[in-house]
Amino acid sequence: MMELMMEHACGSCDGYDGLTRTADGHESGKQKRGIDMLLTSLSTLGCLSGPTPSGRRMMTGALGTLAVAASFFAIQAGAESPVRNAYFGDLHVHTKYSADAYRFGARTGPDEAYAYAKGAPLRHPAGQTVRMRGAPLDFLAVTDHAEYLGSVAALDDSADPLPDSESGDTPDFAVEAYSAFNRAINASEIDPVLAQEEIRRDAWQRTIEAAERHYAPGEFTTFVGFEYTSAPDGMLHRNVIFEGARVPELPFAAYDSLNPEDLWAWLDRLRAQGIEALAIPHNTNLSRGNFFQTTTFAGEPMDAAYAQLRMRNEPIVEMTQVKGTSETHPLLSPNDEWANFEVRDRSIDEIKGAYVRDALLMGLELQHSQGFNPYRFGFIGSSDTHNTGGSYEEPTYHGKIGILDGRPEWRFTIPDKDNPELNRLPGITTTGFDWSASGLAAVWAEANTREAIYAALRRKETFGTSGTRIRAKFFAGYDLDAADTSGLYATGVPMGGDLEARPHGAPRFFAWALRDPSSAWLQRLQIVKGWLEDGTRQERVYDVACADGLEPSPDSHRCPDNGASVDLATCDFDFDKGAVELKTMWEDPDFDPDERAFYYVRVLENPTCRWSTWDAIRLGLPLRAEKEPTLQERAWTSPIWILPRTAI
Amino acid sequence: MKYLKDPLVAFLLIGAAIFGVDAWRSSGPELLRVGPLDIERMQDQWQIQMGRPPTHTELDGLINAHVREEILVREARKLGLDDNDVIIRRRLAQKLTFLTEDLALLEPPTDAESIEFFQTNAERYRMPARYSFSHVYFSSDARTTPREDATAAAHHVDETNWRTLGDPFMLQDTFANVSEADVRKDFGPRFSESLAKLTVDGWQGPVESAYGYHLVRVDQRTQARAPGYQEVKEKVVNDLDAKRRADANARYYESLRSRYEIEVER
Repeated sequence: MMELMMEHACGSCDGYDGLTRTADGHESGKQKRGIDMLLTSLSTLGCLSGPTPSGRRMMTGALGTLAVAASFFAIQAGAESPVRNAYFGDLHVHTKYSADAYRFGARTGPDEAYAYAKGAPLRHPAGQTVRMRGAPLDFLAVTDHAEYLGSVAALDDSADPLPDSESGDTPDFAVEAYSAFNRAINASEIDPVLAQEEIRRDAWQRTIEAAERHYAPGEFTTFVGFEYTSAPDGMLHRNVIFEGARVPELPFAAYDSLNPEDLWAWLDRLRAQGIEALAIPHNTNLSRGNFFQTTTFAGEPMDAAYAQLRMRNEPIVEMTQVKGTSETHPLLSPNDEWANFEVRDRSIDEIKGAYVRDALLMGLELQHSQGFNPYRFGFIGSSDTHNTGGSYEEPTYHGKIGILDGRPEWRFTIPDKDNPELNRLPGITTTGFDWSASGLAAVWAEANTREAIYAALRRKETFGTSGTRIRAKFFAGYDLDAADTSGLYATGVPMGGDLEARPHGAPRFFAWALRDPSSAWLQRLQIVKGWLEDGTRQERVYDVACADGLEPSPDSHRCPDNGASVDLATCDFDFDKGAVELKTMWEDPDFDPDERAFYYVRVLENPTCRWSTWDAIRLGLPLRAEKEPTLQERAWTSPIWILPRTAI
Repeated sequence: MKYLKDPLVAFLLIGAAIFGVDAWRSSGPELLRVGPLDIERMQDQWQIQMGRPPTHTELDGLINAHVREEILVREARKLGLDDNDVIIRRRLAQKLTFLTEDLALLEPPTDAESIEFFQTNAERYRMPARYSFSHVYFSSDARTTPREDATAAAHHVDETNWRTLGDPFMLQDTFANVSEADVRKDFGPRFSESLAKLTVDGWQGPVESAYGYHLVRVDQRTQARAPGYQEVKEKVVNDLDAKRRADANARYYESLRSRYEIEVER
């Protein structure tokens, strides 16, 4: 039984705000007014013939008094419920202290990273000045690679290159150091020159001091962090984020151990000393399928202690960022028409075990067969910029690796090994064309402070976005009341939580998304369900609310196409399609209280131009066929798990 | 004699003196002392890496390794191996930089220095305008004529009925003491600009946002203002430290550079 709370979109979307338009905005404005008039008349008809809108507008006349009493009660209940705001940030930023970022031309450090996040301009390695077009971020962590932290920046002296005694050449120090860095993360090999402890201590101290200097509780939150860059066979990368200013003397590096279990043990030991931190996996899509396995690093069977160790230290995963999105893949989710979002081209062997939906399902299977679940994590996004400042928006995309992809002509080139543009830097052949202007980490927290945001990360009350600032709420409970949204915490569990199934009836799911004031309107609200049916994994995507007064089909669970389009010559998009907010109280039509299941929300915006289309327009080149010219920016909430009535 | 007052110069002179004495009495066996501080550092480092203190055997091993390294380094220096090694040159240059920065921050700035810094950089410490307000939302999704509906409601909105009017809003209905920047993030720039123009005088509007229209009651507005020194003292001291560090670097380098005559041939 489905109860749709979303009110009909009966008006034009006049609330458009804050987006800088292309030069011909005047003309599209005229066009907009024409469409508006047509739409207004159409939607008026829709309102007259549509179902009675629910919510407060029903409360008229005699019901008014009751409504006052009800809302008074709601305020009382709300007083005991936490009031949480959505805060947006980036927990994955590299500066010149990272050996590779330095190689890619980064010459700015943690101070500049925090200043950029707060809205200041930044000198890009490719020579231009970049600045965030949208609002400043609410929080940020600088997470430089632990391996040779700060060493290349400290030891490089490009005016005085290192002589190579063998060949008589004078190779660039940063180039050599980049190779050494790769040997460290792939094979734990230590280069004694780069590993000098005093330099690393100094860079780490400066990282800590910059975080302290820029932390302004209530306004802007900083976290001390670093990246553990283990990559023995595919990326097993993690960012470590510390709760407070108490941190260890040095970060844990891939040459301390390539085995992430040793990182977790190290974090456990720190916790015993009162130093609280968590590790955030990322680029699982580039792990060659090694990130989410059913065995330990050594290939041994997992046990309950392993699952606890992993979940204690890794409650959330960064599932979207510049090197692609790791939600799922068309080969894993053939019935999900939106699975092909910014995924990297890999064979199926490297896809299994590399995407988070697959891992969540694997977690249910392990729980079913072994009695423990090492994959009960929530979601965030972040950028992984190596330019000191992230590139979160398509129209102003400025790449990830400085002098390799900082200009349109560098990242738009045909992937051909003979192309001179690709061979500007010896030993590195990447085009960056596959990369994404993504993403952001979002939390629901009481205040913009370290304590409140860290606590949200711990309880997984988080969502990730592809760079947009959609706000998304998600609750599950048996007694949820959509008219009383202040009581949701009292009657349900938020994203990231567990709900115990009752023997009878079905839980309700309340999902609510609000558009980014500076981005496109919302197109559809989806709930993604994963579950075990007789021990076999299943997944399904339900559209649960549609924009423009449309309804999901009860058979296909899909919204009809709302027809939102983009003009590829200008990147102008329709102003008259889509919703400011999408909201629904949903019940799973296929709910079974004896099944293990998880549910998460995915919100899609109307299509807008991908960064590569903006580049093509700027360069005056035709669009390339490898990528869709448009994409649908989106948000993913952390899942809610249903614990079955019959425990295993 | 002004230079003697510079702690760095003093430090370097003392260092040179010690080195000289050391060189002079170098005929007998050379002393290599491993003190309790050295040992403590080795133990701490081991504890961090291994999660437990070293055993006696392990500690002996650490001390022996330290002694071996120290002897080899000293002998390498005597042979002049450090003279033309680029890595060592860079490390030496960097160590000297660390040293000057540490010296710059040996003493915290005086109150007078901080206050002067605060006054010269007043703009940096300016506090943004803050608002406490309530609002009633009229959704542009849910209504054909949100602006007209809001205008109509403006005629009868009051303290008893405002919570029953309009549409549910995802963010809060009442915001307490939020900054202009926060309002801009939550509602978009247009709303934030309009809010700045409203007076503390009951319900007003409609005001347009990224989401539709709002009736707004501003309960309190704190104008943007320059804070008193005590309010932001901690931040000022922090900023001043960063500046002193940068200044010390520049000053020290300038003092060194002035001793050189530099010729660049292109």
